[in-house]
Amino acid sequence: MGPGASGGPAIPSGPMTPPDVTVEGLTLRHIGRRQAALRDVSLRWKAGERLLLLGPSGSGKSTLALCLNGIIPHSQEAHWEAGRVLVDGQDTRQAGLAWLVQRVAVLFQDPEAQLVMLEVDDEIAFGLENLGIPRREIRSRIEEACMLVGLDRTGGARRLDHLSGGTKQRVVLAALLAMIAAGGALVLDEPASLLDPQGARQVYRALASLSAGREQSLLLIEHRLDEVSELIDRVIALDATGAVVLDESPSMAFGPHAAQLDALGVWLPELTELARAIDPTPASLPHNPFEAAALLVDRWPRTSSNPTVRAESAIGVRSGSGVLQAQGVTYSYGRAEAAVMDVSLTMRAGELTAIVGGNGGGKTTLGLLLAGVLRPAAGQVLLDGRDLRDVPEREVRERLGYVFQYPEHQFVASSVLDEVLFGLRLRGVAGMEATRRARRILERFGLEALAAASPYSLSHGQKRRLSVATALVTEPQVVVLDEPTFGQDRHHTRELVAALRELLDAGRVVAIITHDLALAGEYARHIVTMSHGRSIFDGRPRELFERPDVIDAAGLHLPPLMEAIQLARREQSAIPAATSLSEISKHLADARGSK
Amino acid sequence: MALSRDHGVTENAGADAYLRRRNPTMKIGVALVVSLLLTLVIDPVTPLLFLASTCLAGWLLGGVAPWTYARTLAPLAVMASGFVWTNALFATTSDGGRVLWTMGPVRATEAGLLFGLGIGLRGLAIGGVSLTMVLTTDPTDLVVSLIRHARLPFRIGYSLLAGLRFLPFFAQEYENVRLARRVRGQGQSGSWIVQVRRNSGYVVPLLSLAVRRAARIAVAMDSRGFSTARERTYYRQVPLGWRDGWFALAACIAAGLLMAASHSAGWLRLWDGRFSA
Repeated sequence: MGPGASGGPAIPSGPMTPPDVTVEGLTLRHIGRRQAALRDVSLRWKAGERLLLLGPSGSGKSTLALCLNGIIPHSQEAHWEAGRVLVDGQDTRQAGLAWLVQRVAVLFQDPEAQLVMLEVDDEIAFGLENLGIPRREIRSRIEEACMLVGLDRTGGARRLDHLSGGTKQRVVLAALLAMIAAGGALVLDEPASLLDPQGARQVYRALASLSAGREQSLLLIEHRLDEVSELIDRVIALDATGAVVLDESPSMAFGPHAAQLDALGVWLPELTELARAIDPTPASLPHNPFEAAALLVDRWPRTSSNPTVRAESAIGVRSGSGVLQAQGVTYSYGRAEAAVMDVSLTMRAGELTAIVGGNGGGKTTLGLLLAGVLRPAAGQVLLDGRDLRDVPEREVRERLGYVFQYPEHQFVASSVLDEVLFGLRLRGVAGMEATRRARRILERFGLEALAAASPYSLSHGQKRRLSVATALVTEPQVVVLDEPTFGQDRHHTRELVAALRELLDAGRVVAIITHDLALAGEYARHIVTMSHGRSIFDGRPRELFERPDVIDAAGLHLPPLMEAIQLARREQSAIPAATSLSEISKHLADARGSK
Repeated sequence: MALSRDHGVTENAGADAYLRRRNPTMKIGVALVVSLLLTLVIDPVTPLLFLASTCLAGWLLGGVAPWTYARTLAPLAVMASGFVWTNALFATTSDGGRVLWTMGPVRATEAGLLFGLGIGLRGLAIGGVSLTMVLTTDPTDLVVSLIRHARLPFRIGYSLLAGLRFLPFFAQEYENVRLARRVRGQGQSGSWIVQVRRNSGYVVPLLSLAVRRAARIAVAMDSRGFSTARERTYYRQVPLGWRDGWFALAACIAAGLLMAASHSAGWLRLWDGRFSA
């Protein structure tokens, strides 16, 4: 049957080859917004092609994904101002949604917001049942899809609530693959951004084996590119207004056009940045840590002297007086196994502490304990030697701030300005002084134009910045931030890091909770690694990166850049044990200078 | 999701027990019939008989451990005991039952006590029947069976299942909002008026999060053809056969026998349309 608007066809009878997708001058505006989400977007996604779509937050990448499988306009309304989207030559506005979703499938960020059923088989069957596919065929499609993504459905692995985030995301992937069968295209909208590093790796391995085994059209939207650079054929970038500004091969995009991407505020693959640090116009770009290591060894200046270790790039070279200590703290939720078990650590003023580990390792609980939000069941938290239990609640809240992972949880007021004023008023700051301080912090975080807006109406990045602003406006002595850079583009990450640097320079105690080792390696001076509620490492980033056993036990993995540096150091001992791109670049410059 | 953990039934214990293999729609029907029958009973002994028989059947035929019943019915029992005492003390005793004791104007009568016990145990017995039904039925089987055997529209059935996955997140999000507000400096103590006002302040963030989550799930479901589904097929088989008919018949006969036994022993009293002892 054809893709008629009647929506009748269930089983596609068309050719089982990937679709040809064309977007022509698409301009689209969301209901209730003045600015267009997409502006005159044109692109061609040929059968079997694997595209990477880049762009800063709010550039309309996710909107474009929803246009490709027909959700816009069939399921979600929007002002379709100009242009069209063609799938196999059929205008998506006329084609039936039941047919479209079998030609183009979209995998979203959050597995929890995509799972409908309680068990794996039912979940994969759900879409096939909706299409009216006979039971016998459903069974064989489930088998095939599970094999493609490497899912094991035996024993206890049947129930979705028992699975890790990475496995859940693979279940969703399998459910989509079963629907598009062998002939559909796959759009992946930041498929790993809510997963911990091991979960992310699982998903990318599944994608890699998928596209190795068959001609699979992929369109990938992703911030962190090192995992995916080997997967893709072409790079397309949107700018902040939602217009296509770049359409190139990966080697062109990350090579000669890298500066343009950098200016857009999108991340580049770390290894590409390393190659550019070595040679501003590299002949070829490294695809994996081995190639990057070879390049580093090859181009490292041949000098006899070992470079002296200079000041690190990490934040917090000066020390302050404030100290936050945990001594044997333990905490458990209800009757469950302790979420934090006998953890001791010391955080010093002026140096950034990173609490790292996989999901479920106890990072967030430890952060809540350190900020005095939760009270330890055993052990104590000391601020400048004073047990927090002896400090009145009001004073605890005044001196310790905590920024939650999801900003919405923290909002208490009806406007952005009131949100910032709220904390000041509680602390007795009122009138002109309060307004002055509130305005200043809003300006600092680029929110002054939104002072009268409702906090809930902001974009995700703006909400995140507002939640940080509310924690910082009262100038607490200790600030703990849970995943502050989650899903943020490069520009906003830099902005946030600058704000943290200011705090540290003012002698505050600052900790971030993250599973991003690249971020921790670049900015932290002190790393605490959590696994199963225990602290399994406490030291400098450099020491952690030399302990693969610890990294593995914590459910993390070494960033590709670190891997490359370590591989290179095995060949060439003159290369120092740097923990970030800026550090290795500085050492390289020094080595070249001393030659 | 903690369905299995909340049930207190280990995943595989009695997975193929007799009651677990029965058709969910049939089980709901039986539970409804028995519950309706129980609402007519006002003496305390008959519901006790039903409660004991249900728990026994649930244990032997459904693999539900007796302590699971005890633990789950305990809160209901506390509520039921409230009925017992209020009725014992305050029920109008038209037939002038024996006075157990008096304290000032308060007078506990035997008739009131029995009436209260009857109501309390009736609630427990109905609770036991419903619990047996819930604990021996897989939620997915239940929804699929209701769609196929009881004409529940599939859009409602599957939305219910998707909603079931929601609940634990809601509890977690409530806790997060509570902690986050505490960090912002909203205290934990205060009069109940302050606490109610504080809790009502949670509504906006919780609703905002729930609406966003629901919208995302709706997009994901539509992306899998849910909104355009017409002739839907069903991968999961939930059989409905003559064995389920026998089960329903046997259960109804058993309920009738219990009533008869209670009647012949002189315990049974049925509701006569009045709302007091």
